[in-house]
Formats: sequence, structure tokens, C-alpha cells
Amino acid sequence: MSEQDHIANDLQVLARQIDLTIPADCVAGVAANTQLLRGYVNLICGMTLPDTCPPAYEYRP
Amino acid sequence: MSISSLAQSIQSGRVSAFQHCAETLQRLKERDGAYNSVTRILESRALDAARKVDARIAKGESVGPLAGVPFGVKDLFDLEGHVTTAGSVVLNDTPPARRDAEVVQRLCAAGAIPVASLNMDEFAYGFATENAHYGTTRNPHDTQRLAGGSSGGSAAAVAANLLPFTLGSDTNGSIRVPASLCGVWGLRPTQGLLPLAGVYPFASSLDVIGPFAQNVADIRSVSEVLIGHSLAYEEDTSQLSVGILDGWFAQDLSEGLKVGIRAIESACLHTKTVTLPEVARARAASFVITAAEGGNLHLGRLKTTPMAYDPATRDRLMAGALLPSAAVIQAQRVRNWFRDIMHQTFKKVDILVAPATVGPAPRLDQPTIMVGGKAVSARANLGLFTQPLSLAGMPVLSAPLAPQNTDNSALPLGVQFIAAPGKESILLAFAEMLERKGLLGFPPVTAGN
Repeated sequence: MSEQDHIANDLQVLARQIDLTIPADCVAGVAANTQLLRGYVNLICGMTLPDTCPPAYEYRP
Repeated sequence: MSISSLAQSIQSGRVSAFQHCAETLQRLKERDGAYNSVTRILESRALDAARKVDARIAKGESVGPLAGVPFGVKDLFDLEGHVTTAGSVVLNDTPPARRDAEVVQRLCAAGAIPVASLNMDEFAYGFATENAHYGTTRNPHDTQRLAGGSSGGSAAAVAANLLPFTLGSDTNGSIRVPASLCGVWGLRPTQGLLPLAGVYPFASSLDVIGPFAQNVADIRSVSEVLIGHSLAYEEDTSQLSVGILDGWFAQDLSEGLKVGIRAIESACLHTKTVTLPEVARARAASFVITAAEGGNLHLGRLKTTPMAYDPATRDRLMAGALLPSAAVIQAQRVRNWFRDIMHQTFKKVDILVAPATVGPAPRLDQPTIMVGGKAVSARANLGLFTQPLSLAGMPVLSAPLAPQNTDNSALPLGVQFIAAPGKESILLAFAEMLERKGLLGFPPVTAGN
């Protein structure tokens, strides 16, 4: 199985979890964007934050 | 003529609101073909409103600080009786809006007249205003170049002198990027300051709306109506402490931006260099939050009608919908951490200065910018300097640098001024000081040039 096939397979697994069908014509584009986002996810997940730093769901100056 | 002068001329009866409105509509029809900033002209509504303004003035009534002033809105603001497209065809079968967006109501109550809706990237997901359904908006200063986005129609209409002011929205830089590339002013107010009722969302925890105009006085006039109180700053602006952002914000800059920022630094008495930590991660968090919220918002339609979307938008939204919760929650924690950093920074300075983009508008046939020595997509990366700041929620004013040569042929370049939450008054006063010194302000394109 090629790398592209692996990525496409991963996408379909993720998509099934939210009941989304990725049309065949969209797989390449979604894969490219997923790769881009993975880079950003790795960047933020590489940051160690204190347990006392909660998520910021709204802005309270 | 400034917006306040125009409103005074109409209020005093020297200028007819109806005549001015009719001329504005004619100008839009005659000149917008070159720019494609307009998606819909609200002719009958505008002329009816203008007649009412004139009738009220004839009866001796005071109409308001924006009496008879025409304006346009990005195509994601509700306008009563019209379907809000958000730059897509996906929403075409939704019912027409039952009322104007709340901020449009505020402007109308002050006498302003909505005359057009304006082009944008589909669902505001882009920095280019290249729209598969409604076409590309062209930069009025060079129609072979991008206007920027996603509020590109709003910026271009002001830069082309078609409208005195417009409204746009800014999630990651969608006011500041096109304002910068088109040489106009744009304000992203403090997160949560202005109501979003009747504004189609993109990534709702980051979305903010704000005005575009040709000068800072006009931004002030419109912002005071939108916010509902005076933005006067009574202190001495020469005593403001100004931080020039370096590090992330000093990379890949065009020479013109370097010169412009140095000139701003020289014009201030109290300056220091400020380095914000973890800006790359702040930008990454903004990317992830936007993708996840946007993807979730559209998930239902992505399941049923995916092929109705602009392919580029659809693929980005689908990828966002697939993001794991751990990543999104981490992004929101980074956001909280970065906000604290910004709050601490504003205990040491009053204003931060940063570039808005790396350089002038990219060409339509080469929609890339250079970042770290590599050509990358303009549509996805023009927000390099705006996205990290969106994450913090502070007010940001995008200001055009004054042309740096005498023939005015140079392309516009923009800078960002950032202040502590709720300190829009400081931003405006600081910008007015620099505008008076001749460092800010780019002439609009008129019919003759």
C-alpha cells in the first residue's frame, strides 16, 4: 500500500467516526489539508502547558 | 470629503441624500466592472431610505451622525428581505433575512444607507477573495493583483472610492489583510465588543466585525456609531509607550515595510523592541481553531451537498471537521496562555506595531508570497502576521503607510497597531498623530487615475 493509500485510508476511518463520506474527487484535497493541519497540531501539541491553564472558549479581557 | 462633512452637508440641506445616493449607485454600476467588489446593488431600498432622510431633514429633524452616508456590507451581513449568501451558493435555498444584522441596524439608525453587498471568499475561508461562484475581486491600485481577503470586496470598494465606508469581518485577518493590500484603513475591534447577531459565522470564537474607510477620522465616525460611545482620547499621544514587534513579525518583510516601520519608530518619543514568545504556535492554534469550528459548522451540508462548495473551501472544511478533540482543546489552551502573555505585554507598553502582510498585493497570475525563502500560497498564508494576533482578541487597527515615492505609483503596504482590550481610543489617537505627520494614508483610486 502506498503512502497516499495509507493517508486516504486514515481519512476514511476518521470520516466514518462523524458519519462523513469523502467523495473520491475530494480525497486528494482533503488529504493535503489534513497534512497541513497535522503540522500545526504537532506544533501546538509540542507545547507543555500547566494543568491550571484551561481552554479559552470565550474572551474575558 | 470626510464622512462627517458629508453627513453635515446632507443634514444642513446643502446636499440632497437622494441625489447623493443616486450618484453613488451610478458610480457603482459604471466603475465596479473593473474590480468586481459588488455582488448586489440595493437600489430600491437605498433610494427609498434616501428619500426618507431628505423628508426628515425637511421637517427639521436631526437624522444622525451618518445622515445620508452610503455604505456597503460584506455578503455575510443580514439585509432584510435578502438571502445572506456568505459568498456561497450553498445557502441559496435558505429564507431571506427577516431583519438587518444588528450592526447594520445601528448604522441605519444613525442615518447611513446600505447600498450594496460586497464580494468575499466563500464562507470567509481565505485571504484572497478568489470566489468560485462570484469571481475574483481585483485590487483597485493594480487590477492584475489580488485585493486580499476574505473581506476583499469591502476593501476594494473603499480603495476605488466607490463607497465612503464598508463593513467586513475578521477571523484571522480578513479585515486587516485586504485593508493593507488595498491601501485603506480597517479596524478589528476588541473581541466581543460588537454584536454578531445577523452575521453569518465562520469560526465563531474568533469572529469579529469592523469597518473599512479611507482615513482614520472616518474609521472613528463609523466606529463610534457601531460601538455606541465616544472614542476620544484626552491624553498626550506623544507620551504613549510604543513597542515595535520583532522576531516573527520582522521576517520576510519588503523594504518598503521596513522603511515605513522605522519611520513610525522615529516619530515616537518612547519606543522599545518587543519580542512575543511562541508566535508560531499562536498562529498554529488560530489555524486549528478556525478549521475545527468552520468544519463543524458546515458538517451537515458537507455530508449532503459537498460538491456545491468551492472545491478549495470544501476540502479545507472537511479536513477541519476531521480534527481530533485533543488538538482543538490544546489550541484553546494555547490561546489562553497567549492571551495572558499579551495582557502582561500591555502592562509595559500602550501600543504594539507590526506589519500587516509581508509585502504588497500578489499578482493574480502568481498568487504566492515568499515566506522563509519559499513561495507559499497567498490564499492560505497572507495572514502570517494577523493570525497570531487574532488569537489574543485585542483591538487591532490596520493602517496604510503613506506612499514612499512622489509619483504615488507604489503599491499599498499596511501596518497593524495593537492595543489592550477596549483601548480602541488609543489606537485611533495614535494613528491620527502619525497621519498628521504624513506617515500614514494612501490616496484612493478615482475615476481619473
